[in-house]
Amino acid sequence: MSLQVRNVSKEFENRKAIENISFSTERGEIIGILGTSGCGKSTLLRAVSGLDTSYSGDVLLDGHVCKHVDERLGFIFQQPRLMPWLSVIDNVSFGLNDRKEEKQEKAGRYLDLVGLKGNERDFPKQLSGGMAQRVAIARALVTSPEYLLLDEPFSALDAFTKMKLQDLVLEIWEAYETTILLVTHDIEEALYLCDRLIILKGQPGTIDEELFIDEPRPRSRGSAKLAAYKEHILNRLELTTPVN
Amino acid sequence: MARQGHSEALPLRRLVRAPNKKKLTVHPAIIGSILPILLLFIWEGLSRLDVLPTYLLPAPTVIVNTIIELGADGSLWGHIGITLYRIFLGFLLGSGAALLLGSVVGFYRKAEQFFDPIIQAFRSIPSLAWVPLFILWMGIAEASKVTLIAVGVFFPVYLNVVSGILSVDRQLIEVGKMYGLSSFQLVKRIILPASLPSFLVGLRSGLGLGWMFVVAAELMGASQGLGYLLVLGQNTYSPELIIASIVLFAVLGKLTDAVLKKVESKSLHWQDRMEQR
Ligand SMILES: Nc1ncnc2c1ncn2[C@@H]1O[C@H](COP(=O)(O)OP(=O)(O)OP(=O)(O)O)[C@@H](O)[C@H]1O
Ligand SMILES: [Mg+2]
Repeated sequence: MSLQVRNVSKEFENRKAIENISFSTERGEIIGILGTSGCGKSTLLRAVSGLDTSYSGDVLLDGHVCKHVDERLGFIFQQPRLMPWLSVIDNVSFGLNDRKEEKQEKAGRYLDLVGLKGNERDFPKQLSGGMAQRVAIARALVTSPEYLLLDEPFSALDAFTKMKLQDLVLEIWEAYETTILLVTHDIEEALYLCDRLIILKGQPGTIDEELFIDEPRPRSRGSAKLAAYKEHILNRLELTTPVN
Repeated sequence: MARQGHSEALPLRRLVRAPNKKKLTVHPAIIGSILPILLLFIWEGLSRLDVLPTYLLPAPTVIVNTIIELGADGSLWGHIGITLYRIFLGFLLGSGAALLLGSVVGFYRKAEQFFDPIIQAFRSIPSLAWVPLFILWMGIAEASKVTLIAVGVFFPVYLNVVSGILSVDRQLIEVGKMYGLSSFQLVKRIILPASLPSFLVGLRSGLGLGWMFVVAAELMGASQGLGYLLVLGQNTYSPELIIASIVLFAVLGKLTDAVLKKVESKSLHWQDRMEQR
């Protein structure tokens, strides 16, 4: 039960975006992929998800090479990407293939989980950004994926909503033992959520450091230990951004 | 004083204030009908005073009477019926073909390379230029008329279907792919609903062109239909018949468009649009 990335490289029109990325996850681990803009975080996540298949190297799911989208994977994008013509509940049940009542029942359960009970019949245009992102989270969870891929899922949200949704992710993680791969450029978010951080650096992006966050949960956002980690990461990353 | 004038020119201010002020709210339709009604009265008055020559521009009441007489002797329904039949058939054929071809061209890059140049070439022919050829091929009966209308309807619908499909948000398609949807399911569950707004816009402008072409088709030779009434009015020196026919065209055009608009707002209620405020 693990996700393994082996020597993954990806080239766009003769320009390398990522080079030789390798790491593996344990079941139920939360891994953060941290790096400055343009270092290939999204590229890596798209390769893992199978949305992009034109990469070299292997992605292994539970020990088998997997080069296509797989139902064991769920993806939460940076934008909610809801279907505007579907009601909230139909958006959540979009990926389900059950009978209608079952779909509605499941979708309703997950909407409840993200705190949107009562908004089932709304349409995306009636939702705030944070609500829409919560619907997207419910949509990704409803198929019970074993692995969740998140690409800067909260970066467009205000600080309060962001913290709430981070806690929501932790709740989900606790309840379902999901293995989570979280791309972010928010160091505090990464430190609050992750067991391990993979720091990407350079262009093409390569793994610069793997960092275990040795802090028991529940973590305090203001803890001194996390602040020390932050200091370390900042130092690490500043090497990559030349002062102009 | 200058400041006051300025603030009144700001439309936002009116929008914000409107709800809590209980000033008499005039329905926009009423404001909009003031001028036409005024003009009708002036027209009627001038006609009665013999200022306007009645053999060129008869009074509104005369025109209304003409319509009523046509309705009373039953011939009106035949004319309206045949015109509606032609436009309905032409519209159905034209938009059906456009939907089919537009979908294929929109979905398959190869089909676009194959079909699009020739379609663009045909599009640059003014559609009325087909008239003589269609008459030669299909005679002056229904077939040539319906074909002409279908040709007119085809292009706006086709263009809108293609552009609708091409502009479907790639991000939404990725969501579908993430759930392992097949190509057919992607079309059915994402691409079609996402391009529906554009298709409906195409249908409405296609219908508008359809009305234009039904007039052309009936002018070129018909024994019945509203367009025939235009010709009849010209040949018998009866301007009231011509204007009556024009009025009927306007009313029918508006009615059919209203039907499509209703369909549009019913099926696109999910859109986040300016119009709905
Ligand atoms: N479709 C594409 N075509 C060409 N180059 C691309 C494409 N997508 C990404 N790139 C390039 O690949 C590199 C990595 O991009 P990527 O989107 O993975 O960065 P990122 O780490 O996710 O950045 P951000 O934090 O800004 O989202 C960038 O240099 C970018 O220019
Ligand atoms: Mg990115």
